[in-house]
Amino acid sequence: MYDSAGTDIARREWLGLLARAPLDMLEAWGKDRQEEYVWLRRPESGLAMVRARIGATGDRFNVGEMTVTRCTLRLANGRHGVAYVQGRSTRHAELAALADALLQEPTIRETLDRQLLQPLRARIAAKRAAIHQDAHLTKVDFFTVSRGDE
Amino acid sequence: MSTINIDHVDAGFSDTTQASQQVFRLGLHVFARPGTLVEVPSDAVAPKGIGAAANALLLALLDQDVSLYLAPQRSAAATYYRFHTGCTLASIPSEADFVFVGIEDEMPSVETLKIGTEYAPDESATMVREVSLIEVGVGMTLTGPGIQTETRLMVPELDTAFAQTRSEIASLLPRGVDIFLTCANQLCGLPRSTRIGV
Repeated sequence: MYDSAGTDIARREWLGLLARAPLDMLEAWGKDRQEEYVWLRRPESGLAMVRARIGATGDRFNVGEMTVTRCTLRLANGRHGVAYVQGRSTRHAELAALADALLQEPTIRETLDRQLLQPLRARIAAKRAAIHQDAHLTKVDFFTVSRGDE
Repeated sequence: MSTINIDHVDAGFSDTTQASQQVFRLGLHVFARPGTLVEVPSDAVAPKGIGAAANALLLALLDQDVSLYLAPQRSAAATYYRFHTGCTLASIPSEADFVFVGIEDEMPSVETLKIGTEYAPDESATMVREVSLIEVGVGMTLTGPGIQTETRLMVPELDTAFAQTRSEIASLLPRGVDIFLTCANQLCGLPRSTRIGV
C-alpha cells in the first residue's frame, strides 16, 4: 500500500517498529536465522538532529541531537534491507535491516508479521500506555472564572 | 532532500575508515611525486565503466560538502556515490568540485573547470580521468615540484591540445586544476604545479 507521496505505508510502519524494538526481542527472533547477505553499508553510528514543532504547528526548532546507527544490506535474492535505529547498537541495526529485507518478500511477510511484528506492536503499545498513564496523573485542567470587570 | 533508489547499488569499501585513509595516503603520494605510478588496493565493487583506482579515490575523497560531475549516462554511478559518500551532483562540469571522466566520456575542457581564486585556491576542481594506458618513461615531459629533473609520461587520451590548455592554466598558479590519472587499479598524479612539455 502506498500513500499519495508514494511511500510504502506498511514498510514505514515496520521500519518504525524495528527501530524502536528492544534488542532482546529482535535477538530472540534473529539469532538462529541462516540468511546470507552482503553489506552495502556496514553499521555506523552518528548524530542526527531532531527537529519538531510544538503541537505540530509553528516553526520547527532543533530539539537536540540523538545517536543513530544505520546500515544497509542485500540478501542473496537481491532484496535490500535498511535500518536507522536509535543508539549505538550495531547488532540492533543489523537485525532490523535483515527483518526489513525479509519483510519485503510477500510470501513470508505474513509469518514474519505474526512472529515478530505483532509482539513488537504489543510491547510498544504497552510501553506507550504506561507512559500516558504516568503523565495523565499529573494532568491539570485550567478553568478560568469570568472576571468581574467584563 | 530527495530519496535515493538503492536497487542497483553495489558495495563500497568493507572497512570504510581504513580503506579511505590508505587511498588518501596514496593520493598524497602521487601528487607529491608527479609522474609516478602506484597500485591502489580496493575491495569496493565499482560501478560499470569506472576503474578500481578511480572508484577507490572517489569513495575516499567525496563527502557531503562537495559536488561531483559525471557524464549524463552514468546515472547508476551517480546513485552509487550519492549513497556511499553523501555527495551532491553537479549538472555541469564548471560547477563541480570533483569531475570524473571515463575513457569513452566526453572530456570537458579543462579551462571551464573551477580553478579557485587567488584568495582561496583550494576552491578548485579535482579531475579524476580514467584512461586506457599510463606509461612512465616515454611521452610528454613533466617538470616541477616533486620531480628532480624531469620525468616522462605517456597517456593516449591526453593530446597536445590538452597539454596546451593545461599549460595556459598552469601559468595562473596558485589557481589551477589537479588531475588524477587512473587506469584500472593504477593511479598517477598531475597536480597543478606540474609543467607539461610535449
